Parts: sequence; C-alpha cells; structure tokens
Amino acid sequence: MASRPLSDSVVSDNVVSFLRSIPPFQFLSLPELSKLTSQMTLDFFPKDTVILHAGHPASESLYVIQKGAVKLALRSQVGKQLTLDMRSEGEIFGLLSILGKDLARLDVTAAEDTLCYCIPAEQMQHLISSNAEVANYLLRTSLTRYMDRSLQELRTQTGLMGDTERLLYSLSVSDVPGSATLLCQQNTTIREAAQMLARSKATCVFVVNEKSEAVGIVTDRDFAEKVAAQALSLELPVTDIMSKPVVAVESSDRLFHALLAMVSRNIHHVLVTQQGRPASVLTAHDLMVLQGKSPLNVVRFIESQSTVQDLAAAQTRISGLVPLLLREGAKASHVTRVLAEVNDRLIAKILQLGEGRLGAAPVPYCWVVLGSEGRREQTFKTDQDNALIHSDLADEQAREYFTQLAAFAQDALSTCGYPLCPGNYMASNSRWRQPLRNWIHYFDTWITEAELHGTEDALIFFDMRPVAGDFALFQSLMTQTRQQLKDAGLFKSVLACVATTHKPPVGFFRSFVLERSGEHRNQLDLKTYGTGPIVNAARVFAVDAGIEQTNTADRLSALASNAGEHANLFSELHEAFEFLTLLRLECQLRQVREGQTLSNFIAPDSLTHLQRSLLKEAFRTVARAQASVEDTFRTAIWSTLGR
Amino acid sequence: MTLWPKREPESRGEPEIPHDAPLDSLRYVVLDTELTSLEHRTNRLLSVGAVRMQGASIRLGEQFYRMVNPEVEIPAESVVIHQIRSDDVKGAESTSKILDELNHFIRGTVLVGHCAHIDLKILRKEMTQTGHTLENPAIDTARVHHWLLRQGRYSEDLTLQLEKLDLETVAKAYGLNPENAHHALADAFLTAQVWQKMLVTLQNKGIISLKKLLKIGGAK
Repeated sequence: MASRPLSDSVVSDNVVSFLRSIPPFQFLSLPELSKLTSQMTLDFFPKDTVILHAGHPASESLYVIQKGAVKLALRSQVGKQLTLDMRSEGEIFGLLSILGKDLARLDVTAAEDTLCYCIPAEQMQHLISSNAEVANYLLRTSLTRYMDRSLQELRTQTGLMGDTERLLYSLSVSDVPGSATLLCQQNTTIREAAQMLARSKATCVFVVNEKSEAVGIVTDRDFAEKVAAQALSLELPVTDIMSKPVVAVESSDRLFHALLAMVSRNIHHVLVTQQGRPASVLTAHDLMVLQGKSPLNVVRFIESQSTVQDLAAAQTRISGLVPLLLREGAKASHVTRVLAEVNDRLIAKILQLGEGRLGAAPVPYCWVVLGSEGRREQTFKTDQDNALIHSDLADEQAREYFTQLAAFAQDALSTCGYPLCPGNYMASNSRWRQPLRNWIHYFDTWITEAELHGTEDALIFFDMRPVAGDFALFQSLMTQTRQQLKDAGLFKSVLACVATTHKPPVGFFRSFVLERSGEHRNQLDLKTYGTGPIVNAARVFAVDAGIEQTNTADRLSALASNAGEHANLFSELHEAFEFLTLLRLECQLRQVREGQTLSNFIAPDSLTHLQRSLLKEAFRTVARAQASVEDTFRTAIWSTLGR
Repeated sequence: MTLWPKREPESRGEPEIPHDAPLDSLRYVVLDTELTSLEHRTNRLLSVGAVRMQGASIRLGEQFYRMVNPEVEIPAESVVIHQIRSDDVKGAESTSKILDELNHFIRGTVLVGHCAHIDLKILRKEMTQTGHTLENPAIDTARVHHWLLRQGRYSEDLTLQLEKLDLETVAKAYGLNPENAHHALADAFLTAQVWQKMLVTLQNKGIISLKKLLKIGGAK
C-alpha cells in the first residue's frame, strides 16, 4: 500500500498538520499528536452560539479554532457584557475553565460560523502535567492576553500558576507581598528613626503628617550619605534628611505602574497606599524577583556606564525589550511608554556625561524631545527629535557652552544608534537651541500666523516634552502657549485640516485601498492612514480642550473622561490606536528579525482574518473621528482653506 | 489513529432507534464507498470510509477505512478516479470480514451519505453474498440539500442549483474546502462536515425529529 499517496489516516493527517502549525501543539511529537487527535472531536458552532456560559459548569474541552472566530466576554454584575478578547483561527479558548474545574468564568460566543477541534479536559490536564513546554506556553499566553481588563474577575485564577514572567502585566500591586511599612512622625529625631530601622528588617521609613499621609521617605542610604557625610546632629528632626515627595501607587494599580514609577525616577522604593493611606512598601527587589529580566535592569545598566562607547551597548538592550514586553502581552501603549522612559534615561545620562566633560551648565537649561518621542510613542529606533531651551540670562560664553553640549549629545546619540533627524529638528541646530523668550516668540508666530504648510512642520513642537535639566523653563513656555491657544481659532483650524488630510482606506466594497505602485505596492501604510490621523485628531481636540498631556492615549482618555458629546468616540479611538500601534510594533519586530528596513507598511494578506476585520473596524473609527473633527471645526476649516 | 477495535461479543438484533428522538441526540455514521464501476450489474465494492458523530460532534478518533479485494480486475477508467489499483488491494482482507467490521461500526447509528442510495445499493448487494443485513435508517445529504434549497427564496438560478448536487458543489455551498476527492474516508469526512452544518439549518427550520428528517431526506 506504500505506493498510494493517501492512506487510511488521510483525515487525521490533516488534523495533525493543522495542530503542528500552532503553538503549543507544535511542541508535541508526531505520535503524541496522532494520539491526541484520536481523542478529539470537530464541532460546529453557528454565529451567535454561546459556546461557554459564565457561571455554568466548567468547560469539558479545550477548544482550538479551526475556522471562524469567537468573542470572550465578562458579564458585569448588572448583566452588561464586556468584550475582553477575540480569538480566531489557530487560537484556543476554554483553558481557564478547564483549569478552574469549578465554573466557567467567561461567556464565549461564536462571532461568526466557527469550527473547533475539542480536546477533552482530561487529556488536556494530562498534557499540561506531563509536558512543561506546553504548560508554560498555555498558561502564559492565555493568561496575559486579557487579564488586563478582567483582572478583578480572574485574580483568583492566578493562584494556580507557577510561571512568573507574565505577572508584571497581569497582577496588581496588592498581589505582591510587599514589606510592612515603618512609619514615624515629623518630629521624630534622626536617631529614633535610625533605631527603628535597625530594629526591623525594613530598608526605609516613611514620615507621616497628622493626617497619616506620607510626606517623606528616609532610606538607609540617606543615613549614610546625608547624616554621616555631613556630620549632622542625630537630634535633628528626621524631616531634615527625608526625600520628598513620596512616590506612591495605589494597591489596586497594576504592577506595571509601580515599575514605571521606579524606572522613570530611578528609585527603588515605592509606597503602596490603600485609599491614600500607607499600607506597605514595594521594592525594586520585589519586582526583580518576579521578573527575571526587566526594563529596570536596562535602566540600571544605563546608569552604571561612564562613557558614551559603553552606553552604546544599551541600544541593543533597549530594542531587546520590545519582543520581551510584547511576548508578555503588554498593551502597545505600555510598550511605547516603557521605551520612552528608558530612552529618557539614556538622554539624561548622555547629558550628565556631557556636563561631566564640559563642566556644569552656566545657566539653567531644559532638554526637550519632540514629535513621537514627545508623545512617548516611539516604536523601535527613532530619529533624534530634540531641542534645547535655555535661560534668557545666557551670555555669549553660555551660548557657546550649549552649542558644545548639543553637539556632544548629538554625537553620543548617533553612537548609541539614534539616526540624525532628516528635518534637522535637533538641539545642535542653533534655530532649535534658543533662550526661553525666543521659544515663546516661536510659538506665538506658529499660533497667530498659522498657515497650512508652515504649521504642519511645526506640529512636532506641540508634542514637546521635557526630559532633562530645569523643567521650569519648559513650564513657563507652556503656560504662555496655553494662554495663547485659548482663542486661536485659526491655529486650531489648521490642526483640524492636518487631521483630516489623509483619509483612511475604508474604500469601496469595504476592502482596503492599497499602495498602487512602488516598493510598497499592495501594502497598507499604517502610520499615514492609521495612527497618524488619530494622533492628529487627538491633538486638535486636546488643544481645544486645554488638555496638557502629549501622549495620544492619555489625550484620548482625558477627552473621554470629559464626557462631552464625543466621549464614546474617544474611547473607541483609543482602542483603535492601541490596536494599530500593536500591529505596527509586531510588524516592525518582524522586520527587525528578518533584517529588513523598518517601515510602517503591512500587507493585508499577511494578517489573520480577525486582524483584518479589526483593522477595518479601526479605520472606520478613524474615519468617524475625522468626520467629527470636520464637524467641530468646520467654519474654521473653511476660512483657512479660503485664505 | 485508532481503528475500530476488533469485534466485541455480538448482541442479537439491531437496536431500535426511536423515530421521535431529537436529531442532536442521535449517533450518526457518515460513510462513503468507492466502487469498481458505476455499472450496478457487475460492479464490486472497493473501499469504504466512515466517521462517527455524536449529534453534531465529529469524533475524530472513531473512523473506519478499509479497502476490499474485489476479486475482479479494476477498470482503468475508474482507477483514474479513485487511484486504487488491483495491486493495492491484493493483500486486503475478505469482503465478508470487512462487512462484519462495518456492521459492528454502524450499530445503533443513523447512516448518512451523499447520494447515499448508491452506497446502500452496493453494500446491500455485497451483504447478500456474505449473509449480512443492513437495517439502519439512512439519510441522503444530497436530498436534504435539495430540500433546503427549495425552502429558500425563489431565485433565477435556483433551477441551475438544483441540478448540481455533487458533493464538491454542496460542500462549497457550506463554506467547506473539498480535498482528496474520491477517497472514501476523505469524502466521508467532508460529508460529515456538511452534515454537521445541515443539522443546524434543519433544526432552525423545525426539523427536529428523525421521523421528519427521513421524510425529506431518507435514503433507501
């Protein structure tokens, strides 16, 4: 029978080769897969069938979607459905239900006609307990993907898991047993505080006021550096050596926020509060234990370097964070924020090295970043987009100092792998290295003499964010600017025009309009038609509402919480932005792996069915947002175009 | 793959399937056969493939596939279709033994096949030779499809559609992708997938008992 191409296992072979293409089944050997296949069924669920009911007995199978898509939703106490996730071909569901063994946690509904391979719970449990790779994969992926929004509901489940890498993104602060807090009053002496610390295992004491609010923190380092080094009297109040303000996170915040607080301020202790009251303390060590590798490690590495050459090695570590974060199921906005924080640390370190070489700055200055960097939305390597604001008091000599500092920073950033800005928006360009009064003048000109073409280039300055130096300079500039933006109808109309220039390709027959020629023929530009218009729409609405944030996600959630007429649109836009950014990140990650040039183009063919439909959904939301920009700023737009 | 296990102690008599049982509680065996030719007078059984279903759930481990030695020369024009040559079936077991196993596999189930009358006809013919009988109720998915089409909205191409009822066309109408056509097991599996979807449509149209189903799509 060997000559026959088709054997008696023709059907099973198809199933096996399907399973082989999807994780975690790819970890199984062929005989194992054949055995598993013989225990499976193939079931069909027409659109809208409720496959698993929340609150009903646990699922009897693990479902592998062969064709179609399902929606996973939580039912809130008032019976409203909250969609947590969509799953499509090659993805699984029902795992938590199997593991929980009690009740199904989620409603799973067929979003379209769906075919599933069903693996009996018993077989799956056997597989998980006998194959570490399978167990590891299943637990990680299915737990991280939607924990984000369902944390409260699912927290009880995590007790089952042994894997820790994912926890940063799925657990809340209260899930980590932090250390107990030591508290002392403001009139406590340094001696008493030191004794308290010595008696306990703690590494820090929090100073609280009459209202039990933490007003400062004293760590063992403070005793060594301040008390010993400056030979202070031990009878002085502890308030003389405490650091303030105290950085705190609420116990219900996700661990991610605690990490971000530590990374951005380079501190190692974060106070955990419960309704504002000190509850416990979380240390960097606690997080490191959870997380083998972490962005904090990279920051620590950056901090410990003393030459630019050594610092250059940080770049590979930074880009190594992206796959790590994505793999752990972080949201796109989290990934870009972590990247921004780490990049900020790098810039601060470079300036510190520069000051080390050139001496301290003669007058205050503030180093600012622009555009996507200013919005904390960089994906992989981005251009250097930066500028320098210095005090009006700078004389000729001081100006020369900043020329050299900017040149040093530009070289150092290049060495660390950040390409020069093609538009020359860099502090090394004297035009973008100016005293505060000139910057005020620049913004004044952009706002009052707004013109479609001139302003488009200046837009990156409206996403400005301070990174190092004296932030007060930046604040003064913004105070002035905000004042002027209050009634700058003309300027807003230009912003509105920019936001509606590139219409997303929702196109005819609901298919995609693709690039028609050139290198990216039949591909889709995710930035120009996707994230770009969202960034621009968020900017014009935020400027109009007087919102200070520059980050698009922040702008949108601030706008949504303003509960104006477009509140719903803003939340949907926020989701669309998350999705498009994630798609960009994943696409660029692939390009990095395959050694291609980074671009924002994607071939719709390479997307799964579900991604395609989400993409169309996202584009439709963008189109709606543009319509409402046009609607809101209509008269202003006409007058701009008419000029 | 687990083939159907060797025969268990035979219990006497065919278990009766209640005709008022709901369709999704029934056990089905979806089957297909390949023949030496379509000439009923002279043709012989060449292979049989079958898949079991519990309600609409296809049990991937409960498959049946046997090639039969027809003891006659297989005509060239049919080899081209099913790719089974005389050499391939030389070592196959006797028809009698295979029909024994098949009878066991289908016990207590409703048979389903695309144009099932052809399959039933050859099976009955072979069974007469070996002293077996075939009493299971049987459904023809081609007939069911024909009935469903006529339930739909009248349209210009309805007549055209009613004329094309081959498995490939019907499978495509249900969004399925026919592969490995004219392999008895592959075709049985494809038919099972068609049947899986038909069950939903039928129940939506109020066909919920075997009795009603046999009326619109029974095969003899």
